[in-house]
Amino acid sequence: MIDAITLLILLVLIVVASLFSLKIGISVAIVEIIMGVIAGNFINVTSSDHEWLVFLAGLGSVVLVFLAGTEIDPDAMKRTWKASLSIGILSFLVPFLSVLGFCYYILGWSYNASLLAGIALSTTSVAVVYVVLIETGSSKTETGKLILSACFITDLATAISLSILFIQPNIYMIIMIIGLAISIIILPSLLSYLFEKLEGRSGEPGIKVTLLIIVLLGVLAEIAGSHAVLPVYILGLLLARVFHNHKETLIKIRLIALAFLTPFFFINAGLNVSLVAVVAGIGMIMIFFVIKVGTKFVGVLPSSRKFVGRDAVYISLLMSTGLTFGTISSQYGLTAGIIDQGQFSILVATVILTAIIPTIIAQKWFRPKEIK
Amino acid sequence: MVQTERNKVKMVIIIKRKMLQVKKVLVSADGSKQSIRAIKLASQIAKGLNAEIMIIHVVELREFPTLMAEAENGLEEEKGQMILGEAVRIANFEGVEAKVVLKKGHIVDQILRFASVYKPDLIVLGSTGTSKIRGLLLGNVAHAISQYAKCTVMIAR
Repeated sequence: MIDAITLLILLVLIVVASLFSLKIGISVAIVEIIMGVIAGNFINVTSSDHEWLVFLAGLGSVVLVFLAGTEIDPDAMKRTWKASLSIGILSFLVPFLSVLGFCYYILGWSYNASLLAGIALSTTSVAVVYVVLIETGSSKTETGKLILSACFITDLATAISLSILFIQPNIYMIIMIIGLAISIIILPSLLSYLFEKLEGRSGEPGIKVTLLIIVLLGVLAEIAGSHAVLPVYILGLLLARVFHNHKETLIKIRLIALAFLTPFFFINAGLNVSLVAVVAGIGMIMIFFVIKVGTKFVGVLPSSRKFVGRDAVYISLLMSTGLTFGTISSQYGLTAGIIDQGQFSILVATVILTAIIPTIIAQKWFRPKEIK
Repeated sequence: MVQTERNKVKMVIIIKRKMLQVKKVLVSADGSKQSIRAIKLASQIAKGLNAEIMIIHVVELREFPTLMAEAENGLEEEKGQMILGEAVRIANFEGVEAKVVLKKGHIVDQILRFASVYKPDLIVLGSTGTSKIRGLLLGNVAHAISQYAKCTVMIAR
């Protein structure tokens, strides 16, 4: 298909997804993935024919991870680090090891494909949890902040695993580590200074500098044979405090990302989903779903009971949700040839289910007691 | 036996009298035609019974977002303030002074949560507040509130 026609079709789908998501009040990302599935399976649009689409999708995922990093509350993280570390690591580790073992020993997937499935299905959606915390009036409480910090730890564990487990050691890896170390040391104060000088100026130099650094870290990671998710997520975490004082710049970066970049990432993910594989693997999707939610419970419930007490089941269900990092991990696996299209389709379908079903169950049957 | 039935009828009348002792009315405003009817009805009841009226608007968050920032929309909050302003004007037109409150989150949760603190004697709602598709996905607001609320719920059509 000609590039311009493909672009036109995708833009139409992106607009429809945006309007439809407003109408039904759910995340545009899920609708975009579904639109991608429709385009890929019924209109025969494929991302492999269009390098620009793969590039835009890749850039979209990297900027999305960066933005996810900037949403952390560093002060809350400092205050609750013991509890959040405990909940967050268990929330990652138990599902990761369980899915890894299931894929490798029971399904007979390759070791790397099993690792990737483990990563994709051990994530927690910070944003989904955040919404529910606002709804229950807990987002500003210490418990709410603890839960959010724990979710960030889980995502950080995902980013670390995705970057380290598949790395092919070479000299560029050392350059990437040095680059990241330099970023950690100098970027917060440098960018803070630059934003003071540049924010609001015509031509938006502050935004361009930020995008330059994101892409630079991404390039370093790519040359090192790793994934940009870790350096970029850490960059976001580092700059969270800086952006707290320069919200205007962050809002503009978010606008660019959500309007132009991330739709291509989610549509592209949908394009790569084979409906035939999803239908054929429906049983496996259900098993994956049960393993993810079940093992999240095993990992999160005891520590939630210890640190949060009441509503531990509710919190465990929320921490079973996943969307952004699960999709990003799966997409990385497919692009890097770690998993095939069938495995990708099953993982993405499971990720979408985990974004929706645990939230609905939590809201319907495990709402905090006072509003029942 | 007949006497017992008559007594039962008397009992019903007593319950209705109790309902007339409404001191606080909570009404939900979402900008829809039905919610405007609900505000008018609640205002008339409040005026007739000399009750206090509180108007609530809930800014709904995006479900299953990818970013925390996607969930919240500052413009929705501004729109919510405008809806509340309009609701107050309607109440004033009906001859009552109304208080307002703006909450964020799932509309059913937020109304029930606020009701548990405010303790209204009556909650008044419009018959539909969300789209039909959303209602199918997330449940009907009026139905859910009438099911869980601890006070009388009135639905304006």
